[in-house]
Amino acid sequence: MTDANTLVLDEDTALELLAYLVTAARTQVDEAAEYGPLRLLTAARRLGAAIAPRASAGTAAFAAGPLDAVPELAVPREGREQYVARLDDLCRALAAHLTAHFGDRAAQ
Amino acid sequence: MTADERGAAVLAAIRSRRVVRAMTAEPVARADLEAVLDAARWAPTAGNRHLQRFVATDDPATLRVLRMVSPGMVQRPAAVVAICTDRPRAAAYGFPPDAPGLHVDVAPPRPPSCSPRTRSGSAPGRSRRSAGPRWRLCCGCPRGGCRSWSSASGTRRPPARRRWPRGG
Repeated sequence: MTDANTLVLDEDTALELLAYLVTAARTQVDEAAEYGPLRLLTAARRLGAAIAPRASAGTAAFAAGPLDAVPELAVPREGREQYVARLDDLCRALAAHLTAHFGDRAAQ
Repeated sequence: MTADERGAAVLAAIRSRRVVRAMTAEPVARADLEAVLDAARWAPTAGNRHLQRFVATDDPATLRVLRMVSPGMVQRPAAVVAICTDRPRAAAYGFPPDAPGLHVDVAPPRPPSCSPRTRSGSAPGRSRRSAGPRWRLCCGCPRGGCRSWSSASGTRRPPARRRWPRGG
């Protein structure tokens, strides 16, 4: 069980993610627009994998479940509707986890 | 080996080339890295200018930093060859600083002399204006079972042929 003060990310890993996001912003300027969601989801997957070992069971389950199930290289090219539907599913799974996570906090 | 067999071998190498985006942590032998670098020396360049410089590393800390500033580097390679542009040499040939012809657009294939288990992937460079690496060739052993549906690479297939319109 973790609380709001539990640290789940060390500085090196946080810096790694920061560097990824900044440089991804730069490459995205010259990349095809369809790579935008791919880059963001890559960052989300890396963050999820990094925090899972020290996060709450619910957060770890979300990271190892719906988030990790997102294919690493999926882009909204062919089958765009299916891509959007899967992203919507991911957002719903995230919403359910947030509701449970912060609902538990409010109840404490 | 006959000329036909050599031709077939080249075509087979072209058709079987692929980008590997999931690699094991198995180290890349120095001999394999040197084979990659030696193969790169034989690559043709416009005007035989050879403006590219190669920096190979298998240092874990360097690889980690390279990966964090290379958004296209999905894999965790055991070694990387950074392909750089020799800016002073390019300038000496009269290329302007932002000449697009200086950029490396393709990752070289695995040389035949390389271990069959060692494959390559690629990751794009950051900025067209910087003097840093233009491209990074990721080296390592492919990990099986990687997912590929609906992906940026997906199942490899040749691009559709385009024909020039016939003149009258």
